[in-house]
Amino acid sequence: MLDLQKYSCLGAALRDALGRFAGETCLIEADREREKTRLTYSDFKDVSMPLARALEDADFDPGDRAAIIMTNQSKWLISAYAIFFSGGVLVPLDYKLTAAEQLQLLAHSKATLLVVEYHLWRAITRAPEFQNIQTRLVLVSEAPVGADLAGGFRWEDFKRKGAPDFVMRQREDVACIVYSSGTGGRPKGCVLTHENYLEQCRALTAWYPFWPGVRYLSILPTNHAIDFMVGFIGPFVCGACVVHLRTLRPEFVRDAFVRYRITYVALVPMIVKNLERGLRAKFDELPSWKRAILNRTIAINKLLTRSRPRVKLSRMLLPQVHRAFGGELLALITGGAFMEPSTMQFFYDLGIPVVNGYGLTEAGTALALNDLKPFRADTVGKPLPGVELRVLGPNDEGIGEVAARSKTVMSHYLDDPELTLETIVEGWLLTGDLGRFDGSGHLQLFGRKKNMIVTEGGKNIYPEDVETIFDGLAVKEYCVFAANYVWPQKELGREMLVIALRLEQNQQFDSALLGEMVNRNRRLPDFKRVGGYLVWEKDFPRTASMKIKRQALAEEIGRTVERGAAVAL
Amino acid sequence: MEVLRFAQDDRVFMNNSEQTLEEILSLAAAHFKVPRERLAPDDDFFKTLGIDSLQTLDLLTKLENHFRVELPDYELQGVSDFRTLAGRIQARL
Repeated sequence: MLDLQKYSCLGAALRDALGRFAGETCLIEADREREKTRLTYSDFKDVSMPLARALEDADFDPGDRAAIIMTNQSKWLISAYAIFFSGGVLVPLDYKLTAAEQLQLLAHSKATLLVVEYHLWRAITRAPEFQNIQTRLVLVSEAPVGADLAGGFRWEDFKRKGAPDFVMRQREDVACIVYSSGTGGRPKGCVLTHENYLEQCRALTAWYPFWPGVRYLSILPTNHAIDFMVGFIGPFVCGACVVHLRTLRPEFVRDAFVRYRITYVALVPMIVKNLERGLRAKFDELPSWKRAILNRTIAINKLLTRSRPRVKLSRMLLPQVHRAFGGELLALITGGAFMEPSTMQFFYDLGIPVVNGYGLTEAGTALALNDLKPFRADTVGKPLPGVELRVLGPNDEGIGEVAARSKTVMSHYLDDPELTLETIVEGWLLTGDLGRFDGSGHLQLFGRKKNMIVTEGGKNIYPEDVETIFDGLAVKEYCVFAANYVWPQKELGREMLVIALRLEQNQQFDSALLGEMVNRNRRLPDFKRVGGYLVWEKDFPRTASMKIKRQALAEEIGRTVERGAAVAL
Repeated sequence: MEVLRFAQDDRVFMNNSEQTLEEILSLAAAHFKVPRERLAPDDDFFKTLGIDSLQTLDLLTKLENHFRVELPDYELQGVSDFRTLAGRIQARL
């Protein structure tokens, strides 16, 4: 791989990788069973340079911000490279947000360029907020012939001949602005520097190196910090290959493992659990004698891999299981949300190492990672090289807030010095997560201090972001909380949002109100929905400026009523 | 004559839509092993069936095979009830 210590920016590292690994395959893009694109590093350079030149000619200047709203595909990475080559700042936005939310973040980021897929652009142009869009240049990919692009340019045609000038950036310059939340409330744009990414990449590849011939299956959205690192920067600076699938249908994902003999994949818990369900169903279909043999073989594998993974041995012991994953899988990487230890243990016992980790967008990608020496399903691993972790204000059991100091921690929140000061104190990032270290230096997490949830799909959801959907609800006041914030748990998981309602005097909670809440809740994407409600009998405590004192209200509710009092919505 | 033809087309479309919806409800009931009568067109299928977004993608494959259409994943984005899903499929028939 490249020696990243020698580089000052991602653009330079990627540029050198394209030269060093010119003949290696860097990208495969498949749609279902059809392979659509296969590019070598040299091909990748050939398709990205005309775009970089066209950006230069369109006065896209160093430091200008460029948003990408795309599903995982080759044009995502080609565009990102062209933007870095031109000295631009990348703003990866979540394609699963609503058009209004995307427009809000586009405005907040002040992106002058947008690269977007046609179906997403069509939705954006139909949103009422579109009339206020300030983005100067829009490149629309995969638009049908004759489609109205509402002032945008066709991505496929946006290219110019001639070599573009490479723009060098310094380590402290901004590489990306990544939104960790804040679509409905206060946007949290994490400003990450080139140094943040280069150091993160160095730390991760020190423990889990890529090399030419490795095939990484990119399923997590590339706008997500994990896939951006292990599905783009990491493989590219090592000469490995990234496989994109245009569908997340479980049967095509399973096929891709086999067709492309995948080496690594990063998955969120929801997908890992889906794979587990599928395997368990297959095992249940076996005749009892075959099942008994399988169980015995799994037990032997478990015994032999107790101290460390022995992938080759496991492949011999459980060939059918491993063939279903392509036969060359070295590890499932998980993160972004709480994963049940039993699920991780299930895969590990089959001889498929599960690399569990912990991180947050504010800290690049990962702060801690399981080094598999030995595998521990009950922890999120040890601090990565270069990462310092501390537990602040530990209680009798050693549990306190986890704080991190590392070259991978973001510079600041975009346009929010107040929040930055609250979050990064004397160089330490306050994570808001509660944890402790065990005797062997592994970090164990025990819940959250902050009022938020992380879904099984790896999405951070803040109550303030979903509250706006209930604007004008016919009650005196309401407030949305993370249930675990109101009723603290000593574990992660069971995360959901609840809405506390304060009714008007003499108002009864009736079916019309319930129906209205259900209807509004359904307007939210499924992963953002509120899971329960409770009726609170007192006025909410408020500050002098009439803001709800959320923490005080949560504490009072938590003291007064049981979690079970929240009725499912 | 022109008006009459449109009216007939509309009627045919409505009938087909209802039929598509009914077939989706039956297929979903069979796929997730719940009684058909438990499912209604405007149900939030995440809630009624207790499924996640990946499981809905599984269902989508069944529906594609049945109706012989191909639906990109993004067609399901923001869809959480059977009636809207039927509309998306009907548009591609």
